[in-house]
Amino acid sequence: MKQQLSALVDGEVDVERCEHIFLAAKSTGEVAQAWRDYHVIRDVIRDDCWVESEMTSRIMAQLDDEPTMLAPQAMAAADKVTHIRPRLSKYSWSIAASVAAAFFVGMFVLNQPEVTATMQIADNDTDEYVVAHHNYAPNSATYYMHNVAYNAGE
Amino acid sequence: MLHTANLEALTRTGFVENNTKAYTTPNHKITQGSHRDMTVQAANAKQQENKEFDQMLVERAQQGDKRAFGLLVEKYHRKLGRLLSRMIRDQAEVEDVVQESFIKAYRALHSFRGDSAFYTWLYRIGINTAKNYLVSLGRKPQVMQDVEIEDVENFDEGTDMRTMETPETSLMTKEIAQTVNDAIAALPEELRTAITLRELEGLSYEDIANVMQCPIGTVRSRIFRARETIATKLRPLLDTPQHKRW
Repeated sequence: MKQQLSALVDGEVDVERCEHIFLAAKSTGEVAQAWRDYHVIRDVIRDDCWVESEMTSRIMAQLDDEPTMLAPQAMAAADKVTHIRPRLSKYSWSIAASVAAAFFVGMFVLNQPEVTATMQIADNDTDEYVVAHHNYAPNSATYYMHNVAYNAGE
Repeated sequence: MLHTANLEALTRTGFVENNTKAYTTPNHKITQGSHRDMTVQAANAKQQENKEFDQMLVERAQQGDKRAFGLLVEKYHRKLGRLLSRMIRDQAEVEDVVQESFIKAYRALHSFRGDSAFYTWLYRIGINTAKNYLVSLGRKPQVMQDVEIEDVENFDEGTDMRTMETPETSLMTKEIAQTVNDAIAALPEELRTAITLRELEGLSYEDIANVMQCPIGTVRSRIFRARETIATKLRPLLDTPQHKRW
């Protein structure tokens, strides 16, 4: 782990693969201690050492009093969670559309004239229709067509 | 500017020169020109150094993770302090301004979009905070003209900036620096070369592997072992109550 941290300090680790190092470094264990040590060593070697007294702990103590930040980026990340709602709404709309469609179909069916009336109209009109159009028939079969009421034998 | 005063000191003691020679072969001879090319690459590498991880830490902090911001504080407060000590003479005042700069940076972190490197953005805040501090005291900064925003872009550890230290901090700084330098001097040669090429020359692991003619994994291991060896000597100094970790 600390060897990976060392490589991370040098920018030699893929950031996408360093989540576990990040978690360890921000804790209070030896990896966190190594984060400090490696940077102090770097600063000293680069002649960049500037000694402070409890600077980090002072800053962190003051940050404790600061309100926790939620920047727009973080809000955007949070929005990803709330995007579940629109997905649910889509399903809701689908269900609502299905119910509405079923309702209109049902209304259409219920508003149709009764079946017996339709058949009576057909019975009355069929003879005249066949006679009027028999010339358009491909053969003479229409001469032999007779309109027979299905309940004639009753 | 990569050749810092410390580099010159280490070069004088033979760290860099001897080790470079030790790993020079006919096929990988480090000429002055190739060395210059590498230092240019090293400068670019240092500029990119950890920029991505810094951005990751910033994003975590923006999501409310204060510990992520703490890692940035740990990483940059010494550099920022050294920069600001060029503007403000008093060590205690520098510390106050550094602290205020980080708090301002945290409060403004929501506006940081990553267009520039985090440390560039932080240094700008630091310089402005220092200027405002001095103006509020009615002081005309003695060296304000020397540190302008543009300098932040080019600020490098090797720039001739001398910290204004109190006797106590000077002693502590010297003690820490002496410990690190002694620890480096005592390192086995291959570890000393690896850490020197990395920290002083800023070479990438790949370049160091080419120079030392070894696999990158070996470079990674050598640099790590060098750091751990130095850190072992350094921790007794850093783990004093004055340096206890947050």
